[in-house]
Amino acid sequence: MPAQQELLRLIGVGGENEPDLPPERLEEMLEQLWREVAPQARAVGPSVRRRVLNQSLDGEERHLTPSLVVPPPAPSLPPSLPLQILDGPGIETQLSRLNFLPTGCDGVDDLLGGGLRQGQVTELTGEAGTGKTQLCLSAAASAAALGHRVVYVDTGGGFSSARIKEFHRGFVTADADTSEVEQHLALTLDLITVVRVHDVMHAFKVLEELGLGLLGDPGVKGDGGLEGEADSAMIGREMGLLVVDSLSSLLSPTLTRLHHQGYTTMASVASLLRSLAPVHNCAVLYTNHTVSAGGMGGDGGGGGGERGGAGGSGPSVKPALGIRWTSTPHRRLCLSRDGGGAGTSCGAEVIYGPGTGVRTRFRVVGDGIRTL
Amino acid sequence: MEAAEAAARAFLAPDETGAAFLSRNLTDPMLTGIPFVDAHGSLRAGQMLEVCGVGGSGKTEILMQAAVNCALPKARGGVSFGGCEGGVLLLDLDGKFDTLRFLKILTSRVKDAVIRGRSATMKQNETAAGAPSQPRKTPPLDAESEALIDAVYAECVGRFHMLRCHGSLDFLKALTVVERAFVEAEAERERRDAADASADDAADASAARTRARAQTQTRRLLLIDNIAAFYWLDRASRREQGAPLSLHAVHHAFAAKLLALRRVLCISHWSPYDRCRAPIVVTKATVGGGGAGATQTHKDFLPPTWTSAVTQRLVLDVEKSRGGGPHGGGVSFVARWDFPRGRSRARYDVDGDEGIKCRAA
Amino acid sequence: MDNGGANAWYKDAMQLTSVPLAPSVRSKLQRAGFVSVRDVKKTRGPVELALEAGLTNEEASEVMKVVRFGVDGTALAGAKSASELLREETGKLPIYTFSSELDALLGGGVAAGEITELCGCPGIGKTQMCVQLCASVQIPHAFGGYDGEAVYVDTEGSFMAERAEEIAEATARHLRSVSNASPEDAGMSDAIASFTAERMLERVHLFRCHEVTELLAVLEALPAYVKKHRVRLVVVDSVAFHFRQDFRDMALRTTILAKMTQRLQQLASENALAVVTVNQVTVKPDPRGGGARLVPALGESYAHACTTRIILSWEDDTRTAYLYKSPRLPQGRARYTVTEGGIRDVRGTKRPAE
Repeated sequence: MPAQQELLRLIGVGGENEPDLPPERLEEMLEQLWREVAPQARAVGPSVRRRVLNQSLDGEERHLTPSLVVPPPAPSLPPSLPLQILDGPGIETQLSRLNFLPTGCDGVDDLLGGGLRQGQVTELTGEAGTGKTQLCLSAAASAAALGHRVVYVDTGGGFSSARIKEFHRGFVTADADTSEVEQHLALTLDLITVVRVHDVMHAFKVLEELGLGLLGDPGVKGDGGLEGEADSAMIGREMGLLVVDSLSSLLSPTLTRLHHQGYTTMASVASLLRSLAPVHNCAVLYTNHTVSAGGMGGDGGGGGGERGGAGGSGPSVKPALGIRWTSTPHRRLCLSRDGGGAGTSCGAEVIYGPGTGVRTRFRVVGDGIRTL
Repeated sequence: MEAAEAAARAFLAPDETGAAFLSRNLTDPMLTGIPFVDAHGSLRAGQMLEVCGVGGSGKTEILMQAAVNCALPKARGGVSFGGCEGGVLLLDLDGKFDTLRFLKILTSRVKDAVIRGRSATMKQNETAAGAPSQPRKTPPLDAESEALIDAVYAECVGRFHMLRCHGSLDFLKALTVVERAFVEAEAERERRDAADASADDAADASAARTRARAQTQTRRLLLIDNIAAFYWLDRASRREQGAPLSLHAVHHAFAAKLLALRRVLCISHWSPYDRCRAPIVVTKATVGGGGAGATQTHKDFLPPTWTSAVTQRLVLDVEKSRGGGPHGGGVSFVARWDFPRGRSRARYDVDGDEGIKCRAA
Repeated sequence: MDNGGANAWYKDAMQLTSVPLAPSVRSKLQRAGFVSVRDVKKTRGPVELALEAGLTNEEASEVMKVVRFGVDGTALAGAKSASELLREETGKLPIYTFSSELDALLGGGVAAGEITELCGCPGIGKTQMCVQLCASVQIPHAFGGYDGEAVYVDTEGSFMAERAEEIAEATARHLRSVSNASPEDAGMSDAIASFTAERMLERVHLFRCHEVTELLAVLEALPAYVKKHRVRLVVVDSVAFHFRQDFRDMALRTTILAKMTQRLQQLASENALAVVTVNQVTVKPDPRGGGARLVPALGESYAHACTTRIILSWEDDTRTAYLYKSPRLPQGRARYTVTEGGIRDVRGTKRPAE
């Protein structure tokens, strides 16, 4: 019997009309499986332990001085997704490699419990013009300024390097040396890789390739491939932050078809994102736009006093990816906007995940996002 | 003829006495620390508890609390922690189990218990000495307490194992090795304890503790997060065309394996490993049902083999109320027992820091 | 193993679910035990694959072709770093609206590589602005323009050739006066020689669509067309007209709109051209307190499709443009007016000192 079929028989999905495995073969296969899955024994010192537990309490440096930041060392994980038991020390080792990435807005960082955590998937949802793209750009700028590699998947043409430059100016203290700032800006911009994606199959390819630590042909320079000194194959491995803006515009056309192919695509993307984050130690941030819910909309007045003023967060709109998508991210932030005219502020609220119900307000200004 | 008769007698001889059976089976139930689960005290070996709910209703939270409670020891160094002292294996299919949060909850539980223990002994000493009891703030931790906290934390972390599965194939492979995983983990712990005991001063207390621990049957807990995680992925493979990992085949296999893991009553000698004697807690994510039906019957997409494997089912529903919740969010939850019926329901909220908080119904 | 070999191994571990295959073909492959791309590549050819998996020869060769996409370069080959994009952005030429206030609001003009949406009530000047942009995009390089052709997709029948000629004449006159003001610039005078109204109208390609299927067909044909004719501006006037009338099924409408905007976005970014879409407004009752407000049509889901959204309205008898959504510009207002020659500043607006 071919090996694949034997494995299937062992785990119980073989057909009924196939013969049982002989007991010695069973023993052998169980042994083999165990060896593959067994945890590697590693001891972890108490200093690592303390660092893991305290790292969200003292925040990352949120206002940078432009010194050359050393990028974190690339984790040495095998390229495929391992099936392995993690024991306690293994978990701690894994956690000690995580960083909290600031988003550039202190209030939002507090909502997230310190920032975008590597290994977690965060979703931004909200109506048009509520600042989702701005927050994505700000997070990309902050992460790159700290030395992490950022991959920005852009579907709507919203990426603007000029805006990243403006955000970068906002991180720098007023009395910094101009040439150092220029140098740091160049480094920051080099660390951001932008991929323009217009349909879901292309997005799949990109995500899987990132997951496998591969980048485009490192062959001919200047053909539109990546420039910069970094070895191109390292990008997938070194990736610290993945931003997808916006994921829903890729997926929602597939969902409204009558047959279930759409749900499968959605489930594949969800599982891909959720496995990419911890295995490659990167934070994933994506946006989900809203569609009208066709609901009553008359309930906006009740249900908690201050909520009525927030506008738009009542039942008149719902996230585009639907109910089945609710449990995909680790955390979901809903952005809203009040009023119109100059000086509008936006609000962010956690609507799913740890810290549900906590809110903050912010305003997007020329060189950053200010918490109110 | 005698050989045949002897064989027949051997076959008819009883396997074990009733006392032996009871001593094997009648163990304390596993406590999860969640009132509406522990109130019925039925998380014993051989039980499979299924927790169903929509996204955000706190299923992973329940698993996290159960894991923490199981990993904590009963008592160490004069401080009672109130745990079950068992090994925990978590199969994470969803990828939503937050290990950092788990470690944080564990640390804070251990610390709180030690602080409470210390202040209780101090108060005891005070009243014994006859000093007037004055309101005292939390005493600072001395080096001994810190060492105790570190030791207990290391012990608990050593009891927890996690396996992340990325597909149904992985999950089935994992189920095949669950028993072996528990056995090996316990063996590892014993080896480490023996090494520690021989390294330390062979004080009577520690040696006696090691011996006592080795003798009691080690508790185990198997947690599975979200058995419905790969539903749509598996559904894409067609059963009619005989794809091996089709939805039907996969569900059948899950159910069969879990049923086998649950059974503890039959003693069979062909497997060299102990029959797994862990209670199993499985979560299942459902898509929001219609209406706020209090008497909504639960529709299962899993086959009947699964339904027979499940011994208890807890359904978490969202209850939209006005002005409820700690942050004015207005969403609270109701936990009701779908099977066995007749148990009371409970209202609770899921809080960011404290996890599941029950409210007076 | 050398780096190339290691990379190849990584590529092959991809799962079959993320390769675009028909579901029946994929399930046949799965039944035969193929789980990842590597399994498929291990077979020696399409014939063997067909035998093992029970596919027809055509299906098997299709699968092999799809699976070998790695040979042509990977998905990330088109990726660019942000520093490259910065260089591109600073070198981008905007398309002028001829109202300096509005141009300042838009950061120089309508930007290429993205979808800009104009919405407003009837009579506010949406079509006028589109025709003006069709003229501006043809401004020669010597004058700082894009020097490209324009595609005008007309669904409502609002394109009037006489008006277009007037605007073209006015633009040519303006350019001539600029060229006369600096006679030493030879480039300008050369360019202006061939710049007549007839020539300008020749370079505007008009597509008249009477229903939604025609609109979609035109959009399907556009990628090849824009490459052939060096088009730098695509105007769709208006998107909302057919979609509001011809559709009973809202879900279908949302899907088709989404696909359409995806295609337009792809067109814009791959060919470095500007896409301008025109939208109507509709009335939405305000949940808080009575009354109603005007919102752009086509619903909430369409609001996310455009990159930049400009809402045109009347304020104190002046036409005002409000920048509602932009990835890199702050919100703001600008006033403009419609004259015989096209879109111009409101009289009395001081030009900012250069």
